[in-house]
Amino acid sequence: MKRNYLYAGLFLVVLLFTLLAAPKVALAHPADVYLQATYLTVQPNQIVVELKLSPAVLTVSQLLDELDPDMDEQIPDTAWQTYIGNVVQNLTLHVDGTALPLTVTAVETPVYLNLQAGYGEVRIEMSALLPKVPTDLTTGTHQITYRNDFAPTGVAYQVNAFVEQGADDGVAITLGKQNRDERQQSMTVDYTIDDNTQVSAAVSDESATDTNPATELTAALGFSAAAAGQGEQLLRYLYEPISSPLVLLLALALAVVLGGLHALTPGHGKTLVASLSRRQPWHGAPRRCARQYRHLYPHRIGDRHRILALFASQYIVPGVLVPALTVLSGLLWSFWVCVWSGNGECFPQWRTDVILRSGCRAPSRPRPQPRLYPPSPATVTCTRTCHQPMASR
Amino acid sequence: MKQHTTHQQLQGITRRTFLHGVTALTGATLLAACTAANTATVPATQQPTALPTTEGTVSVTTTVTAEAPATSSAAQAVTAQIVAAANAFLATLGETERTAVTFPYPSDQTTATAANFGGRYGEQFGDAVWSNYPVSDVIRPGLRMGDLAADQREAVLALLATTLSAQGYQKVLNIMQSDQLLSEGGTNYASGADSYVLGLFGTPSESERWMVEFGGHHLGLNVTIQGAAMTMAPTLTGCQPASYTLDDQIVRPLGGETDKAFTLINALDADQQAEAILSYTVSDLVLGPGHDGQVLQPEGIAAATMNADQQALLLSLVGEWVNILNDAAARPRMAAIEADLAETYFAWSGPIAPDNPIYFRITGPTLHIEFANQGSAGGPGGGPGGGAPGGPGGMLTDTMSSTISSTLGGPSGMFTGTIGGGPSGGPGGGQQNPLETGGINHIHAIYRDPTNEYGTGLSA
Repeated sequence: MKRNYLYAGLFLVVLLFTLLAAPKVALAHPADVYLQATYLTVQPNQIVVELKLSPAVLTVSQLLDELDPDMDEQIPDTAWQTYIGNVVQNLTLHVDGTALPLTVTAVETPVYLNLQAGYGEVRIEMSALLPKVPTDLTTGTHQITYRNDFAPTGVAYQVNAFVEQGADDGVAITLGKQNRDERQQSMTVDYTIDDNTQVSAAVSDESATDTNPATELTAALGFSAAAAGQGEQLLRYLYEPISSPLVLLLALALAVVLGGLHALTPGHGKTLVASLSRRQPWHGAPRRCARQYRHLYPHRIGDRHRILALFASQYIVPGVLVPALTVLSGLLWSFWVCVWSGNGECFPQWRTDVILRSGCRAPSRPRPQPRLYPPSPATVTCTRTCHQPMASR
Repeated sequence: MKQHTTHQQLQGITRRTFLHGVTALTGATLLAACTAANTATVPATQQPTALPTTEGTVSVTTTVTAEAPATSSAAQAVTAQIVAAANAFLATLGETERTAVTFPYPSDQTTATAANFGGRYGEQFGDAVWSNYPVSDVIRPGLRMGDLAADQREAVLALLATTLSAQGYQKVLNIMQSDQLLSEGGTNYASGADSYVLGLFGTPSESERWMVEFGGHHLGLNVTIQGAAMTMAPTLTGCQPASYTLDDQIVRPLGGETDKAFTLINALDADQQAEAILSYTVSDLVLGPGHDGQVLQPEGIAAATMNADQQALLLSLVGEWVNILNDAAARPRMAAIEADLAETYFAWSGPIAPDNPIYFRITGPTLHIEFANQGSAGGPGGGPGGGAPGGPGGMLTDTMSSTISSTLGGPSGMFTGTIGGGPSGGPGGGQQNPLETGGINHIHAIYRDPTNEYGTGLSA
């Protein structure tokens, strides 16, 4: 008994060490921040708002849940349109208290794999025309108020205002002090457009504000949704056919190995597979023992385990939860391997505390029947898997 | 009774076999990792030294000219040396390699354009690419160090040593070393010294404008030369880890910048600190790659309101970037910055206590510097920041510990230590695992000159 505890403890120590000592893969950028950086550029006739969304790897799942609910690694333009529309709806831009509508003029979206890896940036370029009526906002001093209320998990904000550099239209624009809140979620800044300069007519076209944002967004997506880049070209190589059979075999073998290793992580139904194995030790167990094992049906344990993990993953940092679940998953797997092999005493404390509610011992392999002719009462052994006192010889 | 005993024996044997098998497999795996790590040697990074590559070490015997006087003729002489070094490098290449490393200098372009590389953004100036993303994510034009022969790599290092100051060359080596160590620990992107890329834009000339671009993930040097004038704007420097031990020496590639910044902020009085410390949290660089042509509004404390000692500290901090370039180019540049000191501002975000993740910015008429610990600057205020504290240090594999020993004290080995530790080398409790993201062990910094990016403002 003591040796069982010793072996179990040693195994746990080795397992924990292996998991904790495994090299951690470094990432290039922070993994748990969804950075939203806004760049406001004041121009003579408009304010250009550039918003860069940079969801890191631990925050991108919320974005992919919306963009790719069927997880086919394809994001249609309509999904981007909806998502970006939702983002833009949470932005507000006021000049002297007057809300200016933001019109999306360009959108650039990353390729799926880059987005999924947490390296993709979404760039949304918008413009807000400065009206001349009823108040001429193209001359004089005015105050811009900007706010971003789009608040996904892990959000961090940045907002800065600029004046367009190198403009040669003779308009002098100066910015006052930029006042931000602590999180940079909102900002106010004064701007001044020189009254003495000739400002080109920029009558705010009411019809322009009636432009369907969806139409403009769709057009913008058409320019840049198919984000051609060097990265995308490299990704295309993955889809080229493999010409060498040997390379294909090696790739398949490697895929099997890597897939198997990946399946060791939580959520891949290992306990469910175990529960469906024909080598169930309680195969043929008495009803009383079977009832006890129903409390331990692996698939029910696995379901609860998975449900708990899914629930907890919404609130617990995955960097903490996943390693913990990996350890737990490994322990569960090891437990059922022991049970398969008939070693119900692998974790006696489990057996004692849980299995032996009715006094049933964890069943082992069916015992081989003695070949005695004729059977002698003294040699008959109990065939029931529940432990029975053996007849004395 | 006899059968019962046999069955129990079988159970015991199976159980023991299983446990022993798992233990043996785990131990074998770790032993293999240890063995692989012990075969990796990393040479010391003193004066022009061997640079670690996957093919082995490369010895460099080039010496750096010291104390070049800051005169036009001296600067011209340095240009001649740089041209000679560039031509010497080109002479080691075949025709195909030469074509792969040389590109035209875009004389008709005045600003870089924001470029989208599959969703990762940088900026492009002609064929030159400047980005803070890894080279596997944003392809740099030119030849990769890992693809060069030993004599070719030597020639590249000689070119760098001639172009940069001794201090700057050592900083570059330290950054590359840091990347190499990170690579050995495992990354999901191309990393390490072999991933660094060299590109030449224009023809090496003592009169015409041309540019040298060299970098990887945490380094992006753009040195433009025209006659006696040269600039290194824009330049990206960074590191991860920010501190490591090599040959019993603690190496901090950006330690000078970090220490001088903390010294400066703590040299300010309470009123000055209130002025310098931003009222909001800054998470990342503002004018990183992709924002050429944008000028950030000065914020923070004006250098004009600092006393002489504080201004000297500020100039010394700026010098950590400016003095990367050879002395002949750095001195006039520092003189110009000092002349504009009254219009130079210093802004800070994060705790002022050392060994905390921070952000700071230095802006002037011809200067823009940003320094950001990635993603974890603290909140406003002068005390301990409001940012989330770092977790306990992570575990090292023996792959790391064979080349790095813990700076936290205690025995080195596979079970203890982190890459890190502050200047004092004291306990690093609270530091995040440098192999993971964020925290003081991951730094990105940029150096810009809004009037002379990519040498567009140079005149011979």
